[in-house]
Amino acid sequence: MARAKTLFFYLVLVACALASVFPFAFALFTSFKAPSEAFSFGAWPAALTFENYHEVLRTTPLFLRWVLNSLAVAVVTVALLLLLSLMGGFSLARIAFPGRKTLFLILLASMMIPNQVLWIPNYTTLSRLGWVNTYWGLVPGLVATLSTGTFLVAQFLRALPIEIEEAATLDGLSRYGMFWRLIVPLTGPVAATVTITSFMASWNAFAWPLIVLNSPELFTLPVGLNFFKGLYVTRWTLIMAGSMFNTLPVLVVFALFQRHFIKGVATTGLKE
Amino acid sequence: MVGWVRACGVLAAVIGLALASGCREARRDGKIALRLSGYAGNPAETDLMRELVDDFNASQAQISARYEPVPGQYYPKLLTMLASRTAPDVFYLDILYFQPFIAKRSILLPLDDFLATSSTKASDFIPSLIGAFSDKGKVYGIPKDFNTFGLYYNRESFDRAGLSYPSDQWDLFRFRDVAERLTRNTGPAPRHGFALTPETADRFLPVAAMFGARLYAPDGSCAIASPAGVKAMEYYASLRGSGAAIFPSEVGSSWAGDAFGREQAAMVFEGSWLTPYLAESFPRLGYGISQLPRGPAGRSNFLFTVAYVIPQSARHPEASWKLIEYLTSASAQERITFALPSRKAVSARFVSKHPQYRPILDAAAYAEPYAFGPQGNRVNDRLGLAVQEVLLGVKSPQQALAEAAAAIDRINRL
Repeated sequence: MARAKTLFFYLVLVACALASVFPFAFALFTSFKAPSEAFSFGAWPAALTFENYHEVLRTTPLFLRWVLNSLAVAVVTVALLLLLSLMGGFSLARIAFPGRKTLFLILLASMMIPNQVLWIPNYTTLSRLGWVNTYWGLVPGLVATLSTGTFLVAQFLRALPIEIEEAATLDGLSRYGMFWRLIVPLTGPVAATVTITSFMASWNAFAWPLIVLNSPELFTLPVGLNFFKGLYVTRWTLIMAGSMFNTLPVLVVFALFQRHFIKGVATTGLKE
Repeated sequence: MVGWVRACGVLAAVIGLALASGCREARRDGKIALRLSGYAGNPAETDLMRELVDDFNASQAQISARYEPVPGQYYPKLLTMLASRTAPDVFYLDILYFQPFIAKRSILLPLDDFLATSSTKASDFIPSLIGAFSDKGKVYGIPKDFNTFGLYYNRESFDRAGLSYPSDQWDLFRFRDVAERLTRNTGPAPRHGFALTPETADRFLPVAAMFGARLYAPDGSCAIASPAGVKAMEYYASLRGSGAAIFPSEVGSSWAGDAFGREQAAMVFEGSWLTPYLAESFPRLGYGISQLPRGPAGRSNFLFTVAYVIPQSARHPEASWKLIEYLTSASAQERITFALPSRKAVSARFVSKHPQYRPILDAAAYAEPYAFGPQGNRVNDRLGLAVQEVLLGVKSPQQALAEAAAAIDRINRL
């Protein structure tokens, strides 16, 4: 009975794994197909061709620039967000100040507002600042809409025993010392979670970069990839080849932080 | 971990500064700076626009224009820019969006004063195109190019079935008859006479007009559920019912043009956007183009077109007009390869050089603008739903159209 149960669970897991791998595998195979073959039923290309990759790089001189732009924007966004999330989460969880609960509620409420609603007010603010079509406008917009990190860190810290911090205070550690020497090292798992989720959100962001950026030289990869998607005709094989550049960095980041990621999600909000 | 977070902080600052220093907009030496925006329709068009803008800048001492193509989600972006008064000085406006934009009185700048004083005249352009961007006697946009539907047919399929190629004199019943015959005459791979586009009303509405049906009655209410409309829908569904027409998705194609290229369908209704796609993906395919068949009430077709417009918020309307004049000049239009030029003289030269496009040009004389009122997009979607319901056999033509008409009236009352 127990073996049948295990077998059943393994089957379900394998099916789930296949279902998640299939779209990626399909995209990968399509990127090696000739355009006329793009919609044929078989996933495996009839004749393997590297022409799509060649074509992407040849016809789109800006392509590598887009990859680098995406990378720079993602790294800055993640770095800023990590710092803000840890500091914000620490103050909300540990520092008693007037209006803390209200602020936390506002933070929670802001997470429930769809980003689309914020486009026009955010964009108007940026255009008054003269930040349209600059990364000055792009990055804060991305950071501001990813307030989940602060919430995650606050919840994580609430689950940590306060005694450690009390002991540190008795030993004469200042608030900043506490943050850098105690809180930052202790929040490893949740910081990894924030890193992965914000990296993916920034790396894949489409609508906000599209709205803020006007010059093709500044585009990020997801925006640039859309040049292969025409009004009437979409060049799917090229999109798939280009998408591979979009997928691989996320896979790398995920592989690097995976262990912490799972730990972070599993322990957030736990009380001892 | 401490080192990691600190490193992040430093890295953020360094990269941020580096990016910011590189991306601040360069001042353009005291010239009037113009922004021109449009959707990235296809690579040929994007390249041509870039060249044209470069040439324009070279010809101007006082104006410097920058081309900002938008890859996808063009209208959400445009509306955001319009709402915050940072819209480009000149931008593309699709015919489907002209009436919605005109309904908001304060968006578009009328161009009549410019037309009256410059060498560009409205009469240089194909009348139905200028008409498509006019409202209450005022012109708001200069059409850049256009398309209509043609009947694309696979020569080899006709040869093999021993049938003569489609002619401009065909009517809808002859067309259905031939589609059925082409379906019977299959080779080793299954082939069908026609590929439908089941999810939109784009191809159904011209057929409806061929039967004498109108989308709107003179009083503005939706009239598509009229007896003529129902008859047209019955005809449209009969293409499917007889097995002559397939849905592209049934044969693993993404759209009708793709099914045509892969020789799964011998005929499709498509615009000249299909030609570059066939040349790239199916270079060996032999095909011809003819006008759409006539119906009992005559001919019909759709006019797909895009104009250059100037927003009322433009800071330099005269300079913007100069840019439009340049982009729609005869010499600029001579360089169009992906659609038909909007100038009468240039399009005439274009079809004498590329005679296969003559049916697309001829249809412009009677085609109607692809526009459905101030709520055009939603009306179009709702009607597409009715077409789907009928083609999938979920509802009868009468029921689907009656429900769509009621829904469209509700949409237009909003």
